[in-house]
Amino acid sequence: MSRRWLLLGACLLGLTPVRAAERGLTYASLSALPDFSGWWHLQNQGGPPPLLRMLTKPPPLRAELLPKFRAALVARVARVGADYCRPPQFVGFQNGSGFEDTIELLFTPGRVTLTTETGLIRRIYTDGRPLPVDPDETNTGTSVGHWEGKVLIVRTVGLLHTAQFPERFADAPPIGGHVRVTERISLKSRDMLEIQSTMVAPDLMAAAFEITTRYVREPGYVAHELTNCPDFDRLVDPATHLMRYDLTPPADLPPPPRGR
Amino acid sequence: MRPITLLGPGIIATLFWASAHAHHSYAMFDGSKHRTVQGTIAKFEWGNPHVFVWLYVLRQSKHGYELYGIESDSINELRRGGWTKSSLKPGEVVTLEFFALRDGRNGGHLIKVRRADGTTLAGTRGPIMGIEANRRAETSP
Repeated sequence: MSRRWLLLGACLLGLTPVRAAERGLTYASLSALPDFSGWWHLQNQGGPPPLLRMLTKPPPLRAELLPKFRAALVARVARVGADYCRPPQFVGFQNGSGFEDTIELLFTPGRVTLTTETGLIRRIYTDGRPLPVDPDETNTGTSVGHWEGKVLIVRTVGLLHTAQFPERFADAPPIGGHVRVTERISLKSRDMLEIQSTMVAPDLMAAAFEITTRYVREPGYVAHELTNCPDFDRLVDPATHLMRYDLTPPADLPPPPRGR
Repeated sequence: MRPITLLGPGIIATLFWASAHAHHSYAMFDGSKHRTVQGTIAKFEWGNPHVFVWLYVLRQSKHGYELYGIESDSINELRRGGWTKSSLKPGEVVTLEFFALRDGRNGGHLIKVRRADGTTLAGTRGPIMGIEANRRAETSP
């Protein structure tokens, strides 16, 4: 029996208000949801961004993976290497591999869509469907959500087991299989959004990893396309993915000034 | 239990807001070497993943010009600082300040641009802090 039928039965029995069961399932009901509209930029809390907080408070990694993790963070600090033309990727929290500094959340009936300035698109189904038991692995995973009051609860499975943690740099360890992420997304104030993430990754972590990020609404802001996959990249060789600094003048460069 | 710290506080302090979008290392730039050149904008490349400024600089000891290619940040980062695709126009005379390439060629990472009327356009803090982080990482034990 589907969840929708169970909810309908519960409504008929007077256990659940019909309005709650329908929240976000019709265009009319979307207006009753919290206002998540616009672009949200990672809040400057006077400290390092979430990824870099791991330097002082590492996640609860399995002991044997700590050296690899430590080496990856050191490489992150020195920004060794380059990330050329790789798809954006969700690995459970805001990081540098696609779930970037600026995000937006779009409401349509039965679905919330989270996008980022680097082109990550997470489709979060809020129509009552269950999480798949044996999902295909993808860069975004498979997400379902539901509302608990004014909080959007998002559960995600099916992340690529090869995705690197904390992000795609150097020899960072993979997140492994059977990863489950739960996010609680809510407004802390009218223009401040908070995402509380809990990540369970049995191959990577000895315990659940919890992290909270906050974003500030940017009125009127529209993110420009941002990609590290251009036709021509002066700083990364597309063949080798190694750094370079290509000073080949553009073909359409005008001649130098005259008369000097 | 006392949390394990993976790196020294000296490095951590320099990393604030170094996570702005960057798909490459800043190791090729010398964070301690600021250079300033005056010249004429040849081209302003407003594109992904990083904006580029091409500048003709009059040679000091010889006739003619040298061409400089200075990279900057992503469009989104620059837009937050007030830049637009028409912020710099070919033919405009400007003064560029940048972190020089370590290999000595005529390139680097933009710090700021000063126009003839005295107004300035700044690069964003993220990459600058990234350069600083690189420097600290190199000198830390």
